[in-house]
Amino acid sequence: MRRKIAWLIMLVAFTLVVAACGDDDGGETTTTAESGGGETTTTAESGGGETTTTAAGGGETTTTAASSSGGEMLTDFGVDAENKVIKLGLLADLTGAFAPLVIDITDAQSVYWDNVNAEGGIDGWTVELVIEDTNYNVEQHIEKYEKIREEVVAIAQSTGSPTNVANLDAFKEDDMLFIPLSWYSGWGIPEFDGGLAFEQNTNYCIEAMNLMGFINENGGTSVALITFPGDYGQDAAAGVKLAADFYGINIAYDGEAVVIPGQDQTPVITEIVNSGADWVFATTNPSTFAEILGGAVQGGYAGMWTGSLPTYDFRLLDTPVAPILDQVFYQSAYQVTWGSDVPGMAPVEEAMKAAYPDRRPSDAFVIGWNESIAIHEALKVAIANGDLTRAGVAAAANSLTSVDFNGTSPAQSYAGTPNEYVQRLSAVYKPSLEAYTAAGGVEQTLSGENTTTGSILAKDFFMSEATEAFDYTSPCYEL
Amino acid sequence: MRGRPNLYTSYRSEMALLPTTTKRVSMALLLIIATLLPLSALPLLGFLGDSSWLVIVNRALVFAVGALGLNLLTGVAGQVSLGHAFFMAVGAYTAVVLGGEPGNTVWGLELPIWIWLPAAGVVAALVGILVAPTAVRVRGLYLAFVTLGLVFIGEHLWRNLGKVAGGPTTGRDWPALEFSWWRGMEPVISFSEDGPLWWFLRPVNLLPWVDIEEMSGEVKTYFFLLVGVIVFALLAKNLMRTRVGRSWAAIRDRDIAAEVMGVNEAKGKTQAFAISSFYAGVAGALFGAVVGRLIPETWNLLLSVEFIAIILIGGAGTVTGALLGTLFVVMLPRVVEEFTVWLAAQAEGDGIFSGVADIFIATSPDDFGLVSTGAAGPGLSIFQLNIVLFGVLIVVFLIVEPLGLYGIWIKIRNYWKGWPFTY
Repeated sequence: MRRKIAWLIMLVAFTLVVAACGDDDGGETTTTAESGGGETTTTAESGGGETTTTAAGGGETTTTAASSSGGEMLTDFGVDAENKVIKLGLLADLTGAFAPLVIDITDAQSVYWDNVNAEGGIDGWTVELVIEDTNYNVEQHIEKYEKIREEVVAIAQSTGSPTNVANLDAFKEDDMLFIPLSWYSGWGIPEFDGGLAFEQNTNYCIEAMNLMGFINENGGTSVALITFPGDYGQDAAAGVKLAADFYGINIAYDGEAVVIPGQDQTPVITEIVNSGADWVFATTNPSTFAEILGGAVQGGYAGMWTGSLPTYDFRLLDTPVAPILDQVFYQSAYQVTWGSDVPGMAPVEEAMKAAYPDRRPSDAFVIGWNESIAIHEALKVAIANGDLTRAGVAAAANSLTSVDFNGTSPAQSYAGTPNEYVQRLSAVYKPSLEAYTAAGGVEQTLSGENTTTGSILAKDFFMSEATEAFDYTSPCYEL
Repeated sequence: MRGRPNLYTSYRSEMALLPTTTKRVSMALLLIIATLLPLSALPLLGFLGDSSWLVIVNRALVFAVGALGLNLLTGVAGQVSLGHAFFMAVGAYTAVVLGGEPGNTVWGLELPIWIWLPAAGVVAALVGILVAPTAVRVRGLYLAFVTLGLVFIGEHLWRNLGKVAGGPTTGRDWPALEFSWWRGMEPVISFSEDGPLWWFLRPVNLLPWVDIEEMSGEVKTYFFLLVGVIVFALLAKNLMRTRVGRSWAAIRDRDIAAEVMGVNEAKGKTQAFAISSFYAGVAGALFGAVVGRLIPETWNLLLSVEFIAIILIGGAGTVTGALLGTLFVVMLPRVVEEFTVWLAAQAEGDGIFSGVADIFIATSPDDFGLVSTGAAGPGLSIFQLNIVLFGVLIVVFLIVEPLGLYGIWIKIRNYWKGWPFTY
């Protein structure tokens, strides 16, 4: 009897909660329904002769509002012109396969915008992030996008390839600019992404061609290629093969798409050992890579190793393969690593230290920070144009000719044709167990001095001849 | 026999789908609510018509079909199966090969929905029949392990059958929910594109405040799925009332006793596997079509466990339980999220709940609290909280309320039935 009442109370409480949520959302629904029916597009009467963009997509209403800086501001979704607030969405994998990496990236982005807002925002506009967890799960990605699509003006980070490909139609329908956290070579091709993917850095395919140039420079004549299946591994494999043709490097073992995470890697290891190649090119994840590396070296393989950026994580230096990595492995990089001595690192280090003194240093902080710089530049241009509609922000992003990252990453352009703007530079680093241990290794926190992830620069940002000769007009690997 | 709801004068009336007036009225009300739900025309529940909620409701409807199937197998016939995700995948890939677009790397025949949707069910059912003999040999925990093996075999297959499933971690696109007579022909009705609802509904607009000329794709998908769920629920309910359903229940309660009574155990189990797999296959195909693109890793053990959770939380062996469980399990994460955000707002403000909320919510890195609204803590993030809650709920329901949500409903109903003389 008493238990029955307890259940009843819980049920009533539950209903009340649902009702409370319902009232809020119900109100929102009516507003959007009203504004959605009109399909009117108001253009701004701006003094400065700015270009006005018409909002694309059915049922969107573009409204104008006077901004305090004098001009009129065109807005549609995710911008509160009255209070000067811009909302950006984050579709981040905070609980799934890439959570450790993405949490660092997401936190760096939050810290970046907190700092920008504290210093007065962008021309008086403050930026708020709407963070959603996608669990690296396609249907959750789509559901979470649906949840925030009317609240945000652009997506400042969207984790994964299949997730973004699945949601591409929705992005296109909304003219929603998004930064893919995925370096697939299709994101630079407007025919594929509608010009909406605001890709950062180079891609797996070009990165692989650069690394092949590095191998060639170091006298490598044969390569054993081992990759994951899918956009990541096979995009890199395509780059390796293009460059192998270019340099006349022999592919002694073609293990494109043979590495499956979580499965027995013995056959792959045997093939590597038997191939007799000078170098191994790996495109996997860090844990699978460590397994293969350890196994092959134990099996008597004596060549050198390199691979795509996500193959390596500095946390591998906490594991038993650390001495091997220190000896035979070169890591690829799109940004400088944590602790590098470039002007752009000081603000990142300072801000992250202030926000999270107890966290470990991470190379991923720089990724998040630079993503924010890029979208910051796009927003600046959009505000100057007087057009903070989604289409306006996307157009602003695609008009950027040089986003400067102050040395943390080579400057990047988005204007013109893919051949003109695609980022062709990447760098090569060498993990150093000595440098890592000397700085305190796993015990390091951001509050310490001279923190490092143990990577020593081997070759600064460069473009190989194979990359230079590459005509970039379509994705290297078709999805 | 007015006013005597439990007095039946014939077997037929006792077995009726809706034996009492109350049930008939409440079912009619439920149907009206379900129809009005996506049109934002309901008080209190109107928010569910918002497209951000409707996508979740739509997934719940898809899962409801799958849950009804597992309920027949596990709830009614008593065969614990962890292989539901595998049968869903079989259906989904049958659908995508028959209905999907062909590409450089994938097969696709672009056949219309009236072929691929039933075929998804039939092929899954055939695979179910193949698996059934093992169920005749083993039972209980051992059967659970056999079906668990299916999930892993499936995972390996989908990862390596690139022509069928698309690349690992990239997947492929599913055919859209639209009806056309043959491939290449213009779709007669599209359930996924924005536009008018259905041509035959245009002249009779019964709801003047609803613009049926401009329905969103989600709303149309909802109606399509709603009809599907009603049909499958009725089928399931009817099956349970037939000789087949009763033989399943007999096998569940004591298989040896059932055989002594003349129930053919092998036949019964095979039927249960086939029909349950048919449901799963259709659900898998619909899942792909509604989401649009799925990766081979979708069909993993976690998906199977989610269905088991739905059955346990909803209440095993009843259609109502399966439906309630699906709604609850699929909607819970979103509700928890909204609730935590609301609590966080309370903790920061000075509302009447601010004191209580402050205990649970950490608003700044130094603040004490169980949950935070940030990405990584302090404490749990909302998203981590959801995962924890999911596990806790399964445990709590198993211990406290084995009959599930349906059991709670029965208790509430009985309380009010006897009110004010309840004790």
